[in-house]
Amino acid sequence: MDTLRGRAETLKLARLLDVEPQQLAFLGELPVDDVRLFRERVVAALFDDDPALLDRIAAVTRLLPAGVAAGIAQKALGPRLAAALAGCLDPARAADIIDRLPACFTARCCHHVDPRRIAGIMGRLDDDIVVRVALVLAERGDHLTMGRFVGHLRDSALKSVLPRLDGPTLLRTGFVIDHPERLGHIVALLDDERVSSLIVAADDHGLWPEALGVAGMAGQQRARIASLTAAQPEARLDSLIRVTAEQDLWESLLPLVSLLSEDELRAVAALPVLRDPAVLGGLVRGVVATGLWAYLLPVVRVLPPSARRVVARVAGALDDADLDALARGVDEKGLRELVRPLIELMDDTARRRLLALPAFGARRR
Amino acid sequence: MSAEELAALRVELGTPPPVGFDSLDGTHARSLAQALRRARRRRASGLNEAVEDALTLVPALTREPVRRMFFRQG
Repeated sequence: MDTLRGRAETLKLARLLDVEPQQLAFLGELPVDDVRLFRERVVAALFDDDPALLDRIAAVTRLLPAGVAAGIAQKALGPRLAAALAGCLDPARAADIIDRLPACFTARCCHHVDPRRIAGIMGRLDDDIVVRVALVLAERGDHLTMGRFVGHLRDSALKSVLPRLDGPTLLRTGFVIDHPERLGHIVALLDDERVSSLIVAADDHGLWPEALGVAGMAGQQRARIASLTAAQPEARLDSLIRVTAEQDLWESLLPLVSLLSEDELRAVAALPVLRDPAVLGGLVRGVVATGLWAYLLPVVRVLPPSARRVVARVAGALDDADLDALARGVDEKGLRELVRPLIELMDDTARRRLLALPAFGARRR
Repeated sequence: MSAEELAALRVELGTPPPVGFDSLDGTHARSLAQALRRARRRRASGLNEAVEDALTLVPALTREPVRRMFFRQG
């Protein structure tokens, strides 16, 4: 999950700094929460040193009727200055002026608004203008700006706008949402058919990483998303797993798989792609890197025998440090019963190495 | 990153970067500081240009007094 959160954070920071995201790829090596914190400090650095003249213009604006101020904003100030002024005004006053602006102008302003001011303004805007602005932003493909706003929308506005946004827009926007804690609630507003259509869109538009990111942030809706995904045709699940393997996103997929029912889990485990040694090898290495044995072992339990043997072979070939990490993970999580069938499939050398490890074998004997 | 590079990033940020950024190498730290400096300059110059553009709509006779009012120091 951190890989995907890191990608989303990099996109957001690149937008703030107006650089290409690839230029900030090195941020993927840093803890994602530190990158988020850095982005918040960049917001403060960019918006807190706005010139004093903004306050003076804002002071004049306060004296004008909202309609006149809206006219001036549109005809004279332009989106950049109008957005900066919105940050200086009382949120109620800013909302009063925005209500009188055309949606296309407001949408152009949104990109320049201080993200910290959005909550205060959004809560005061009529649903109608919010929906129209969202549609303009979607039309412009400005998902990053939508991601800043969507977490602040009231249910009434969400219910109006969600059916009018296409699948790729929802996935791309959800991926970069600034308030991920709202995502579960937003997904709950979508019926099963719509969620399934988003899964189809993820496959059709090459958006599996975005979909995994959204699913991982969807709180109590994660199990529903996982279940609806497991019900997809084999070819679609094959595509999901191959993308996961190619981009090493097991840390995002496995926690979702762990939410499946026994029957769903068996259906997933029977997928042909999970007999591919390259995929299984990547899966084990991904789990070694993230320590997610508690998520992997229940899947291994229901894999076909040939696939289980591949996992056992890859696990048995881990170096001492990784094998020790496996043993400690299994011990700490109380997963010995789950790992035993895997150990039995290892060759003698690997089995002896594992059982000799202090974290596992010593206590076992 | 060196103390010098950390200081440069801190100056642009106005506050120390998060602890995890200590592991950034010097090139990346400089690149971040530079990108932030450019972004801040762009924002400031963009706002000033927008004000100047807006002033062109003010009648010529009153433009200078309005400019002085908005751009006065202090």
